[in-house]
Amino acid sequence: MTTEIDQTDKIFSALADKSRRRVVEMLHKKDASILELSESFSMSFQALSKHIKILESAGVVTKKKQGKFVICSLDHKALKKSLKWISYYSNFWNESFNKLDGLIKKEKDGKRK
Amino acid sequence: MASESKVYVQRTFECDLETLFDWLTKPELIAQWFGPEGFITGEVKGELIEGGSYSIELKKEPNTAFTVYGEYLEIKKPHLIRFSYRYEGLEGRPPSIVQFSLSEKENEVTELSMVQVFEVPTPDFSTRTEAWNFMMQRLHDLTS
Repeated sequence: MTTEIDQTDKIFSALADKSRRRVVEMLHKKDASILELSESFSMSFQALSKHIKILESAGVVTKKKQGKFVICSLDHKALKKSLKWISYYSNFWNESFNKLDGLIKKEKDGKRK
Repeated sequence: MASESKVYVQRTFECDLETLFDWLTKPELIAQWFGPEGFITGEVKGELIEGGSYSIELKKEPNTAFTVYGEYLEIKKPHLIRFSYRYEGLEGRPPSIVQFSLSEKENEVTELSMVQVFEVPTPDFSTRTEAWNFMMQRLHDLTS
């Protein structure tokens, strides 16, 4: 059974690569065929196809056939999952630092009085 | 092959470098701010030397507590602290590494840049995520 946790791992693994993050950035702007995407990369068509396959397996990218071409799109729902995870850690520190900020200000005010 | 995922937080505080360094390293001061909203910091222990260990207990209520612990990897007082960061119960898995970099922006204003680096993916990463999901669910249940 593929759990949500496995899926989150796959998303992080897929996004750990710079080229794949670039594909995500490009697809964020508009859907594109692998051929269109390959024009912006110095790697071979086959190498790019492999990267896209990994993104597809992580559920970040979906593919559909349109005539002769295979069009890639971004699955925003999958990306939201990974953002939720990252925001948890950011919130942990931000909330801690909010408290620290308050304490430092309080101490400073106390010294002024 | 493992790769990295990072969380960045940058903040400024109205104090000098040394004061902020103390707040980030002295156990009695850490106890006053560490942990997200709704949590109370319990016992904090630390030996501020490279290779020294620290531990921070976080409590939501008497029966819900967990400990964050690790080792100081690099200390350049008052500019840098780098330490490993683990959760009790998830031993044997790679710890994340947290780095605090401090720089004085102007008189009595110090900038803190924090980066937490996670090694991903590893076979154990799912367990870590599972633990966080569990804690988040628990946090959600407790706060709703």
